[in-house]
Amino acid sequence: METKTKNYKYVYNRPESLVDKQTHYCPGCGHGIVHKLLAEILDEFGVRERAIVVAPVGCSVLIYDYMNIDGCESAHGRAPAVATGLKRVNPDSIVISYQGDGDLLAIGTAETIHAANRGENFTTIFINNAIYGMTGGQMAPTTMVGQITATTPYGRDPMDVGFPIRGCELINSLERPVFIERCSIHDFKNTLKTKKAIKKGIKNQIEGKGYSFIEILSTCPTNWGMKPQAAADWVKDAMVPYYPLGNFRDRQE
Amino acid sequence: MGKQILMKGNEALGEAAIIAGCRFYFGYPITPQNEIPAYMSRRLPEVGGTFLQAESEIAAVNMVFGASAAGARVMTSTSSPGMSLKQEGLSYLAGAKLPCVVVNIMRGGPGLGNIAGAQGDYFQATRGGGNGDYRHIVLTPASVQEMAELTVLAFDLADEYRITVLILGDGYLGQISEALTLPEPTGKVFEKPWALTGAKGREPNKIASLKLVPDHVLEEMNLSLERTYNEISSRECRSESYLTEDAEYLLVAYGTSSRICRAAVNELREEGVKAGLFRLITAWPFPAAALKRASLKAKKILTVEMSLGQMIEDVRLSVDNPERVDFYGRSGGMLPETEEIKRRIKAYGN
Amino acid sequence: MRGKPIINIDKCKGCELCNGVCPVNIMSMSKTFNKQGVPYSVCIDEEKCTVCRACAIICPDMVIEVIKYEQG
Repeated sequence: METKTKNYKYVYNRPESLVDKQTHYCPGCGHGIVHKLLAEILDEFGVRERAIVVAPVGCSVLIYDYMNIDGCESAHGRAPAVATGLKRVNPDSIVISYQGDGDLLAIGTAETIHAANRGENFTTIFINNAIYGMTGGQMAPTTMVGQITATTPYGRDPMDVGFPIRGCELINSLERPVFIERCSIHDFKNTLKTKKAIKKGIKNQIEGKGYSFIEILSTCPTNWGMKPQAAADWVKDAMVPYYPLGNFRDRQE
Repeated sequence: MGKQILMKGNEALGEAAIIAGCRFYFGYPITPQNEIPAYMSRRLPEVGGTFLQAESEIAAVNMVFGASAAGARVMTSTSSPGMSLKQEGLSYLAGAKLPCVVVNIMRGGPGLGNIAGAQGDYFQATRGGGNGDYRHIVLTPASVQEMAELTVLAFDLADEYRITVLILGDGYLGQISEALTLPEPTGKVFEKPWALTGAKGREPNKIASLKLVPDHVLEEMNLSLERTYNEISSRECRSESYLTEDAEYLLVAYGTSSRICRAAVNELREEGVKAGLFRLITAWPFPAAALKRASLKAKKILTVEMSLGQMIEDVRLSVDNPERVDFYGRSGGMLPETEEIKRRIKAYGN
Repeated sequence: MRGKPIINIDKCKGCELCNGVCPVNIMSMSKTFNKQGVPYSVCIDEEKCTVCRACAIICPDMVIEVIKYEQG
């Protein structure tokens, strides 16, 4: 084989912060992509041995099994409170609260807003895939208008259940967060931007700047009833117009 | 012996927590326990600790979860309606085997009830108010001195067994001012190799109660918890037997109602009636064997509670000939009266 | 030939996202099935690989690693 006859080096391989283990995620699920990005960043900053990931309730509940770092469970929606406790006890640890849309914007709205408002020095990674994945595809606070889910069989009616909530804009009304950005992993270019945003969020924490909030538009091919590439395209065509990508705040002081 | 000082029950509890090495407190205001967070907000910064007023009872108990997972001695306190909200966290703490101290200064219920002291949360405290198969240790102080002493004990028990220790007081105990001698630190040190401190030079630690696969892992975890609970049951039952040796009439109570019972016993003895008091210091584990001993000579056992009858179920389960067990209680923040207790006891003699 | 993707075919869940991101369209799916019972990612023309890593970065399952040949 050519690999044996030529000298070569790896330009992409598994980061140390990621466990070599098959995930339970469905084919094409965005969680796997974001887990990798996070692991790469922890490696790049050399903070794997200081990192603690707080898992939400939802599909990514098992993230602590996939990350080669300390990990903590939290009750549904309470990841920011658990992260607050962890970080306040050990300010040198690097704490990531990894949350889905139901966790962050429905059952855990209070915890989300108040941790951000206090400017807790941890990093929130918010996976917005417009649906409840683990429980089988029910309406999320971020489900699109008209989107059909297990509990909106006639499509989400905003006159009945309200419009989808924009997380970044909500957090952007608070004074203390230092970094707020919405990105997406629907294509390669945006995935690289997402990595940059997460990297900034971790860097802020390392430097003790305060709370960073990174919303990532992601896919749920299974519950959306689409093939993974079609799901990625739906993010671009249906979600991005309602959830504008870009940086909302990047405070440097 | 330290010198005696005058303190409010809630504040004595707060100071005792600091003596015990508690450096993190998370809580949400609710009457009649507000002196605890106020005290901690003043004292913790003085000793290099952290006080944080949480956005809710639920957030507070989950901050406790995080701080405990990080290896700290941590406490939260609340009163009855807030305790209901904390049940989610208590279940998760049990599943994750995290030590912490939770204080419930009970008030009248159900619902918003009132702000007077009550004992209506006994079932919730001893049966596990959250979901799943779990227990926590329940300590029931009856004086300001005990509010302090049992708080120091609570932190050691929590760390020793990796369990939540609940201090079950009531509004009267929280508000009353009494002389006490502050306890000394016990000096016990507990290693916490499981704590989340970053995976430096070791495999990553994981704190979780989720046990999905394979099928039997959750049952194994539950059985391991059961072994801990059995060990606690055999080692940590605490109670006080007051004039029970020859008692023909045994009163059973805890907390504030036990103080009233003690007065009744004293007066009955003066009148020549052989009355005694069995007082719980742990409501879980329930001191069943000690109660059985104390009740050997009793013709009647009167359970006195500031509720419509909750502890009485444990009393009935503990003694021989449970038809001897009777009940007198007041609820909604009202106190049982010495005179009424005496009247009941005397009526048995007729 | 600058380098190529190394594909761990048995880890592949067959999501095809790598096929969509490859700028030179050399990623495809197998006609056969892997141990998981799904068609897996294959590189059909390694000569054209630009070592851009897009396939590896977008892969949710850490199936693809990328190597680059050293000069000379």
